[in-house]
Amino acid sequence: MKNLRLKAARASLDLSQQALADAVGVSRQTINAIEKGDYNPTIRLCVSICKVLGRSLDELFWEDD
Amino acid sequence: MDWLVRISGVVALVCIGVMVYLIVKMSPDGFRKEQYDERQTLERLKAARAGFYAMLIVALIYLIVTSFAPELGNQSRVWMCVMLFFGIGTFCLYAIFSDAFFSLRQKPWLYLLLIGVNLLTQGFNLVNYFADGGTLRDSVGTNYILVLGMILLLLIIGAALVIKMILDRTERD
Repeated sequence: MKNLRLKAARASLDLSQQALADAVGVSRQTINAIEKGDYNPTIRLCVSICKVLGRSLDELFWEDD
Repeated sequence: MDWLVRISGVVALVCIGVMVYLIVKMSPDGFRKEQYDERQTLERLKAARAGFYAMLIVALIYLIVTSFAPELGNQSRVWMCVMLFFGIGTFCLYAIFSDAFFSLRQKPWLYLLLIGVNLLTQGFNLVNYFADGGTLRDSVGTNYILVLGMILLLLIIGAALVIKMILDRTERD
């Protein structure tokens, strides 16, 4: 499932995929895969992304039923 | 006298190796390990598995072919090269198309440049060999069988990289 909340949070800070990837220490393609729902990140990467975007894990990664 | 030349050659090579090691070690970055992120590491593992299975498939084909045409079994070195390059090629293609080929610091265009230089030099060697009447048979021109395999492999990797770079341009946000 696509992670549109992550994409929206990133866009609200005017960050490109590359900028976010550099900030959390992964490749741009990995951020792209997470946003497209092609890759399930580890909790460590989720926390790093949340810290950079200033959001909580729930806000970005919790899937509502 | 011959052994003296050989020993001095080996000593010179060891000295050059030690010098290169020291130069790299003293450089600010040293021997930095290639860094892949968590997704890339997983994809590279899958790529390695795919490469291994590709090699097994070639080995199976070799067994089947040689059981029907035993004379082809004489070309064992050629088959070994085919198996090796098939495995490496599968690994590379899988890694390229799952964005796990380059580490975080590597520059794709620099890699393409290196492939181009390699293709030119190796291709020049191979063309010269054929121009001099060389042939590719087992035990004859074995080195050139490797060169031919490497040229094909580099061509495939280069083409895949270019295709992937074009696809990536449309994907960016």
